[in-house]
Amino acid sequence: MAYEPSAAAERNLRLFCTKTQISLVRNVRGAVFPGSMGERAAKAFGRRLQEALLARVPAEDLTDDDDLAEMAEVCHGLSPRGERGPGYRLLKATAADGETTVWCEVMSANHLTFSVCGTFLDFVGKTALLRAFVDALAEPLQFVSAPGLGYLTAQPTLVGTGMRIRSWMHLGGLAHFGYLNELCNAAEAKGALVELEHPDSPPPGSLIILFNRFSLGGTTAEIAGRFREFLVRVSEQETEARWRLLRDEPFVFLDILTRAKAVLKAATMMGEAEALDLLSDLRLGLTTGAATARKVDPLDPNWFDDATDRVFFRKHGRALRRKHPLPHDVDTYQPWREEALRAAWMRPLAGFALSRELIERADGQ
Amino acid sequence: MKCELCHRQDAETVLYRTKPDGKRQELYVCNACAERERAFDESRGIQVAAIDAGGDAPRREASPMGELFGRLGKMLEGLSAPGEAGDEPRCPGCGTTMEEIRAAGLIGCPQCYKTFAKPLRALFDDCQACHAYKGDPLPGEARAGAERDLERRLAEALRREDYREAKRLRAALEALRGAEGGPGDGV
Repeated sequence: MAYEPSAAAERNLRLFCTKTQISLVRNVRGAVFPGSMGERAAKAFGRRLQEALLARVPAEDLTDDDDLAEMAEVCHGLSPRGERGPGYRLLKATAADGETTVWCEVMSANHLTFSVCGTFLDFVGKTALLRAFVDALAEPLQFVSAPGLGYLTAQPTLVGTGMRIRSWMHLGGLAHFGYLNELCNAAEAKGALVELEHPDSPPPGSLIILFNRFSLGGTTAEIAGRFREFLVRVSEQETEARWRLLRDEPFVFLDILTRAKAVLKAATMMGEAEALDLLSDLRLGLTTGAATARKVDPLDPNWFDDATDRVFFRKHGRALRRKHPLPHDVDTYQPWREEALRAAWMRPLAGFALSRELIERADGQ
Repeated sequence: MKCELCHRQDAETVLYRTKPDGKRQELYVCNACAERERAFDESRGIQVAAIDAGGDAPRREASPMGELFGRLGKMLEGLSAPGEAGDEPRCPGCGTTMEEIRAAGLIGCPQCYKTFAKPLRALFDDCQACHAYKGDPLPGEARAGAERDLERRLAEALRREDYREAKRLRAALEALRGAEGGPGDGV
């Protein structure tokens, strides 16, 4: 029997899926992959590839702008700094629709990685847009491919279409009831995988990354469609978990929200994981209607990013250095994190109020 | 290059000697020295193989024993002594071994897909649902498909004696064939 997603699950997906990244990986014929290239050769090849790319696509070179490159890494899911090879280049181009940004990474694990990232839910449409962008470069750049295996990539998990879709999901309801392990198993069975930093402990902020497991055996549109179908199923489960929290455990939910609000308001020292957990609780309240806030949008894709140390110090680091000209490492010096609390973490608390319905339900319990 | 043993004749053969302790020695020698050394070393239980030294020495009339050494050396060229690091086959394109691919999780070059076809197939068993590409048309395939389609339509137009259409199709076909790039066979 064909699966039919419930309308609520489809509608709620935008609440749970904070952002999505779609990537296509390609390599150029006649060259070894970056991992096997020497440093000088990789640098020279990266420059040559960048020139070839710029000759065909108008793009902005962000390689030498450390701040922008790191922000792009954190906010758009590009290759982590530690995994970038010696010839790494980062270019920013625009797709045919005139508004979608395409990030072109030269010499990460493969010669070229093209990706789009945003809050979109039309995976198939965005995939087609990205594929059209990449296919236009296929003839001049001579992508390496084989009839039986498709596009040949350095990573065995990407051979075939070279496609990877990653979705950042905020699953506060499933995490509250301890269903994330079941979700990991279900994802694996359905051809997706869950990325967890520490598999044995709950992820900070109940934020997980889901991505497609297979890149061979289907077209890019089929992979995107199947992946989205799986996300709708996850959305259905998360909707059910949140509804259960509101219906069966209003007292617990009320406690979670008031505690989060109080700690964020009063604390002066806080680790990143704890801050993410508290912000996750607030977002859970705001997206279920159990709480309201006047000045924040819980669907902001940077809701969690702003609370992470790296983004915060990239945004406010220079100002803080001027204010506290001490020879301390900006990323670890705790009093500067205190500034972060005031600047970013207190923001959701502006006009924050609990819903009357939740309070009445909790009282009734 | 002079023979490394007699220092008089030009070197014509590379002599590989693998001693019982596993150490390998490489000597560039003339044919006469190669014959003498082979007979002497084998009497002491030392393995000897020789291959042609290449074109830097002027070719002289080779002795039958020298030819035999040459042939034997070519047969053994790809092999190495037991216990040496070079035991494992390496990709001719990038020099990566299958063990390195497993350890790093990264394939070295497109040639590796051919060199390690069998072990990679096992690797794909773990990380992919199937082994056959069923995705969007590859650049070369799309081009070949368009070419086949034009050829078929041209043949039909000629059969119908629609020469105007045939002329148009032929021009399109020539433009497609003349365009930059080739089929996407890659490896």
